[in-house]
Amino acid sequence: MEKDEKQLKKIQIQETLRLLNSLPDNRRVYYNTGVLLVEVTKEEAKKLLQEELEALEEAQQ
Amino acid sequence: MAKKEVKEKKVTMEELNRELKGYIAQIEALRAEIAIIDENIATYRTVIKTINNLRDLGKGKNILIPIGAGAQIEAKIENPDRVVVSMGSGISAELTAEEALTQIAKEIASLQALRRTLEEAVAEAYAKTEELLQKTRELGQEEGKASK
Repeated sequence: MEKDEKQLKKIQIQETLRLLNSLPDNRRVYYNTGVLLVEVTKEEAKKLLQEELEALEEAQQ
Repeated sequence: MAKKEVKEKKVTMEELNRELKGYIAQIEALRAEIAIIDENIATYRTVIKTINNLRDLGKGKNILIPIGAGAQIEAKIENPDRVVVSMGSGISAELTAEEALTQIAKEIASLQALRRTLEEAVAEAYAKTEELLQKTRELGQEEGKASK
């Protein structure tokens, strides 16, 4: 993955986290596993995004 | 001396042609981007219409969900006021219909802003193309005179 692409992906994840945090806690959240959307808790979704973000940051170093 | 001048102009003509081709390619690429943006805007507008129609029809209506290859399965609308919207990065979240409509309106507005920027870039590239064509014509005439 190109450096710019990684940076773009990081910005996208940060934006998704921001949107997710702005939602009330009672909202259903889903994670796209490829074809299916799996219901996850807001915390699980945030953890998944954080992990992805960390992986991108590690790859950039 | 005259021969040398003609040679220099030839190089310039080649440069002009190369530059011209570059701008034409740029215009084509920008036009393709604009077409994609237009498709996305049209999709968002369809979504707005669908959300509003489903809300008007109300809870409990039977609908058909396409599952590909022209096949559809029957489903029932449980709550037309709840819409699951993609938030990017593989995450989708449930929003109220109002929130979803607001978000879609924002997306459309940002796409339209991007479209305007691309249209401006197309106009600039067109102006450059016209300018280069004029220069090419002038050079051609000069070359014609020099070779006589």
